[in-house]
Amino acid sequence: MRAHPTRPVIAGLLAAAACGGDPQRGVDAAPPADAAATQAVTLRFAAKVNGEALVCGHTYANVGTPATTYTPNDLRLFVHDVALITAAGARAAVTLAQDGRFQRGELALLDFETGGTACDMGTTATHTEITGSVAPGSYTGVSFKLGVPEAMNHLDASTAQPPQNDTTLWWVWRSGYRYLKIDGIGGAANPFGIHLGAIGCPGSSTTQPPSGPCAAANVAEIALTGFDAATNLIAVDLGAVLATSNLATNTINTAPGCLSDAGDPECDAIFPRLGLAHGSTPAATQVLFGVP
Amino acid sequence: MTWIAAIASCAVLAACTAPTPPGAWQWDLPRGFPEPRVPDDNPMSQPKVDLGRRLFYDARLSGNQTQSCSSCHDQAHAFGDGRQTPIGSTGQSVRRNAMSLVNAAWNSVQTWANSTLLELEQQALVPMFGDRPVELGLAGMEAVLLDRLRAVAIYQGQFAAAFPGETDPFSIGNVARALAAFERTIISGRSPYDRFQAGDTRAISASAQRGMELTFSERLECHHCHSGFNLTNSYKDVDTAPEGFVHYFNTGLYNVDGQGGYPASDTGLVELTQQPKDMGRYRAPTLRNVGVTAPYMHDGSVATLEEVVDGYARGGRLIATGPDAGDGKLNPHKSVFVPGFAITPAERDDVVAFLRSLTDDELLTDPRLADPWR
Repeated sequence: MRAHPTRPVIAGLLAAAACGGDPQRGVDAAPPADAAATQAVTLRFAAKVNGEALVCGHTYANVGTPATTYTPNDLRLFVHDVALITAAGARAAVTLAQDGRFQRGELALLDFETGGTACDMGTTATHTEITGSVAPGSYTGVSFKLGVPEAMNHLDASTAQPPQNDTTLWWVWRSGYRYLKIDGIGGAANPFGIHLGAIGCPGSSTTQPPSGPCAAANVAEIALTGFDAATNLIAVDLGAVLATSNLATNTINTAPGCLSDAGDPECDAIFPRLGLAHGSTPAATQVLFGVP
Repeated sequence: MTWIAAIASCAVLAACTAPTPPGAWQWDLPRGFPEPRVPDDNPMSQPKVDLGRRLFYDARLSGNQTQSCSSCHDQAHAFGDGRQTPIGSTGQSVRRNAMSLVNAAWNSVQTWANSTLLELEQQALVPMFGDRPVELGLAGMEAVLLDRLRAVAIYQGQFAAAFPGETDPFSIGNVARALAAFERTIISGRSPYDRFQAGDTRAISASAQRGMELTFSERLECHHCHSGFNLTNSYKDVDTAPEGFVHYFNTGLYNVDGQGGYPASDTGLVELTQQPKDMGRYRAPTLRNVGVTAPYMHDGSVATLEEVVDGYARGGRLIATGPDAGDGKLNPHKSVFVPGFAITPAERDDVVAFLRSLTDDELLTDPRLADPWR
């Protein structure tokens, strides 16, 4: 054994971390529901651009207003607090399977990009289904939150456990993760992306977690009806969320597209379509997710 | 987390700590550093690390016995060499700046722009046996090298201890495995910045703190490529997928033909992939210890940290005259994270002060990493 007489505390910490209790690395999984009293559930997601299947690097016509071309090269998003809903409106929490890669605790990363040449900020692996278990019952709806729970949102991406270990889905400690990362090229070769996350997080340093609640957590609550997990897909349609944006231009001296900044005018068209308010622009019904 | 709290949480969790088998490797990791991913066929052990350290500093590892790994990876330069580009054992010039080896255990891929060199075991063979250019100059001398090593008494015991149970542990593969095991212990995490992150608010100056905020700001955008504990987004650990996160970027350093071209002597990742978009793309190195690894960039063509910041502020480097003339700002392959930014001279000084706070002075003199032949 290698002797490190000056570092016993670190060695002990690492041993303890292996048990899964280190708060620096994120919250632990909820206790698994009693297997005998649950049924398996798989929520299948399908990425679209105006109803067409999303393919990284493919150019789609007629996106946005005025209609222009759009060539997506990234689509990844975090969801949490997943539940199925009965016809009577009762909510049954889904306990996520813990796969060590895309699902941890109540958080799941949906990853539709395929890496490679067309999506080269991403990874080749994809994850388009959320798996878990739920109390037996008859359900007609699904709900979840688009975003990262506050308790898991201010980790160091390079030391956090999957799926929170990808630094391309992370800003800095203080502001936390990008909940939703859409990137692509609009008309006239104009880069236009949507990076959704918390803004206005207080604190003296970007390299420390915030000292209090963020001004806008920007977590969107999604509820879909007319949904049967056995037969329905959940569509994630970029075309719908971009429908009222001009993808060929960007306001000068603001981030390309809508990267959640409070003063970014491109977000005025985007945020309501995610079910969120942006400054004085009120929230509206989200259109990113749907049951086709 | 304070040390007191850390001790308390260890005590609480001690009951679930698995017993450590005798002789098992234990990482000595700084706070917040995850465990590195180690290839299954090269588990860490102290005898292997000790052997690797001895080989790393042994000039028998060059054809003419004039250079060792340490000739271009010098502890005082954070295991870089402080030259623009290295000179090999036979006098040939090596085209790319010698990278610092610190925290290479967490690199998703090795070197500046070779997406096929995933592990340190593979990388070690390049300087040993490469002949374009000659570095250590061992091409065709495999048997000679192994005979040289067998003839050294201390290696008889060290190879046997590092590779127990092998009939003949003297092999090129085992040389590379031992070197890689030693390199994985070159861990830098004791800089003033690390002490600041651990809660010592006086560990870095007010200027460095302002520079840190700028480095991690959306104005400067530095942190999109230099992120996380190792300040690079080329990254893997035990929890990532085996391939880790692999990214390459064009930073607008050149534009020799007005169409984004880099000098023909070194065009970056495109040499391997043949994808036009990979022109001028290189891996983002860690920012740790940049205060002692000048000059900078893949070809060592930027002399100072101040010039590095100026280049990014401009949104790409302008070379007015000479064979490499061109405006990197207009390079169509340039990363979206290099749009340029306004920065005052005082702010630039703050950024440089922050970068200098990343120097790990203990690493530069750590006796566990020093030449064991002395």
